[in-house]
Amino acid sequence: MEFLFQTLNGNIWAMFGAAIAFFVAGMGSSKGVGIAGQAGTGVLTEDPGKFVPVMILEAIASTQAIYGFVIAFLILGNVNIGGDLSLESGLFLFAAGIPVGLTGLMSGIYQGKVAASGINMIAKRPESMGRAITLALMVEMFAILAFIISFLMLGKV
Amino acid sequence: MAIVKMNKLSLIGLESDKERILDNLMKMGVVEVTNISEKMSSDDWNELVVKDENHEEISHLNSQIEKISSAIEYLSRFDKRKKGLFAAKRNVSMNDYSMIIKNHNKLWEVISEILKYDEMLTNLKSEINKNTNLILSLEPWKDLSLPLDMSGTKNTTVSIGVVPEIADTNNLNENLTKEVPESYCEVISEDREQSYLLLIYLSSKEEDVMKVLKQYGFSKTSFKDLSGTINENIAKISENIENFKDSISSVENQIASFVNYKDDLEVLHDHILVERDRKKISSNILKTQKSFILEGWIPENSSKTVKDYIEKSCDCLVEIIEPSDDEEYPILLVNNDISRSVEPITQMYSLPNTKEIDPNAITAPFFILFFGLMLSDGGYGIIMAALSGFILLKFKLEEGTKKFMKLILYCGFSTMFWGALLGGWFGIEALADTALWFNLVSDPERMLSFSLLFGIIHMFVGLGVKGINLYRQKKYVDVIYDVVFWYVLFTGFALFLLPFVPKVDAEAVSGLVEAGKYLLIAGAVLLILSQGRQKKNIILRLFSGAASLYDLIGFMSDVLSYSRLLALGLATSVISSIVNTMGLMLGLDNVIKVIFVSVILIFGHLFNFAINALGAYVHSSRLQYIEFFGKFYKGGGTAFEPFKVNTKYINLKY
Repeated sequence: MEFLFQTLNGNIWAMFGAAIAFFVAGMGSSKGVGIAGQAGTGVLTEDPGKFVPVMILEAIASTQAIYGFVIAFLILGNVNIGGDLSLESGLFLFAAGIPVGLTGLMSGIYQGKVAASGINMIAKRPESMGRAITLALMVEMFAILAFIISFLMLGKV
Repeated sequence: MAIVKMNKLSLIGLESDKERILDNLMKMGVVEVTNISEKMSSDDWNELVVKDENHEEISHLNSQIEKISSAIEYLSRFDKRKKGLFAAKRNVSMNDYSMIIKNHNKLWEVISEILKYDEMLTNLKSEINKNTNLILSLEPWKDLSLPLDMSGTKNTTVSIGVVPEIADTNNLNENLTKEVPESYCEVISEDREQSYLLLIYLSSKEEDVMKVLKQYGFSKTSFKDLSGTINENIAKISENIENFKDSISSVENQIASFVNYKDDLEVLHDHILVERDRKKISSNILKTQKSFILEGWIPENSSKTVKDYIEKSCDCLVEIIEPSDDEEYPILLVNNDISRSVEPITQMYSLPNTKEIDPNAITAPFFILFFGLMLSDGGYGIIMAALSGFILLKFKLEEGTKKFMKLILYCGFSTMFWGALLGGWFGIEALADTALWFNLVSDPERMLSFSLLFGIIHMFVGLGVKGINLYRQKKYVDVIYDVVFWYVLFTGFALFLLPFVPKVDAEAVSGLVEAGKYLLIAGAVLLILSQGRQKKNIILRLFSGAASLYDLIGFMSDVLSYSRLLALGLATSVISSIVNTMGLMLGLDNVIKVIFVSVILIFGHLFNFAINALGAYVHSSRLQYIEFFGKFYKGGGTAFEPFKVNTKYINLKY
């Protein structure tokens, strides 16, 4: 513990915060988009005409990484290498990276799964596009809330 | 601005006039012909009429359509003419049309020629495939110098074959030499799956040789119809493939020479398509020996004109009646320009049923405002409005595309409006202070409160529409119980929670909170007493009344769901300023850097625009579907599909 709080200064903690915000959320989106993409290629082999709706559904799970990216970038804006960032502020920034990162991980993966089954649904019923998107967006809500919380936490530093 | 009232039309006419009447109806395109074949299940009808069906004719026409389509598809590959980005249907004059149709024999010759060439192409392609595979199977034997038709001399046998990759060929060779000294074995080549062997042995020792080889999983290979060495064969086959390729391109040239007929074929296609539709509608019609009966829906305002026109042109009886109150009729919407642009979005959810009001007029302003708030960058708004405005002015568009472009136009204006209010112009920080209201990025908490407020307004409007629907259905008591009481409860709840909303001074609103407390209690008591009114038992009635208060949780989560208005708006603004920062990090001190920076800026903003416009679109739709429609909208109507001339390529000018 002593090592953590004495050797690591505020800047390093902030860096960790930025890393978590992006790479964890990014992993979630990668996995989610990957799952949806696999379902998509399956549908496209049968019916190449469905490319646009499939692409939209596949892209839905990428927002988690974008939210993570935004938060990471804002955290980096506070980092001041060589200068001093107090340990307290550094830990604040670290904490601010956690909600968007971890929630992004889970919500990205599960949104990808919902999007994948949505893709299978529109393969059979193209008119259900609206429903498929709406169902996938339900999962998005939690990433959005996490993003807002991370953002508000950043505002406190 | 609403759902068009429909009347029921029934028409009894002479069988001899049928084609003419149907033709007229089709050209007018305002009557939906309903299927009345279920009337056949009653005995009274069954004795009088029969179904008017002609499956054979329809399937014949269908196969013709299919043939023409595939011919057109072939030709369009060779059609060098420039195609517009938004291809609209071609206008064809009646004169040209009848000329082309008169010539249809020639066109059918062209089609059969094209289809014949198509079959040739398929054959040639499968030949090429076969030969390519043959080469692949010969490839491993390349180093075999013996001719393939050489099976041995008088006393020896030459054979080739393979063993699986796992078999040890050295071991095999040793073993073979030990058991049958009068033999020769050579490994021609090896790949990942198997080893290719050449064997020469004394014919009389065949059995012994095979006994050894069996242990290693040997199987004989033979190229039956080939003679000469492997290399000779490969060269010959490659030459064949080249020849086939030449024939393919010459056949394709033949097809391409028909390219001038494409336009005429399109006309023929549409001609037969219309013909098919006319025949198909007959399956909805019942007939006796000399007369027929047809029923359908027709918009109220065109009823009289159609009735007069048909009765004047033929001897027939047309009767128009208004539907009874509880009868569902097909839905046709008439809206003003703005409301019409969101029709596809509502339709993706569901069409309204005949008992409720068309929600498009109320959905439109909310959808467009929410879209703008979520995109929130005035610069992007200008681009959207300019592009869609340009396309709308410059191109002739199909109805669906036009609606969508209009929607983009309005959303663009809305985005500009919010950009001006919140100071978002391509994420340029210097312009952030020009905000007419306040800057989104520097004061997100304020925006959060307003997002929630917009949400409450949106849902209260939704609840109001529910009241209007109930009122129109003459359920006046329900308006009080199911709408007004909820208003009381939700208002009380919202006021009560006011101090927890960010940027609200708890001292200043203490009066409102006090009022909210009483409203909340009053609302709760009223709802407990009223919501269980269907139940007979008094205890059950109170219990289900109390259970309905659970909707308060739903209300709260619905309100919080509007926080996405802030989140998506913030994401656009922050990402666009990130793009600017990253772009300008390089500096602008020489020309190459300036070019580089502009490329980064353009692609960065394009990406940001694409991903956030998509997000704003789907999230704005979602707020309508779940939070708004959930309050009042039942839907479930079926679309009005008039019997009309439905073409794919051309518009016929009469």
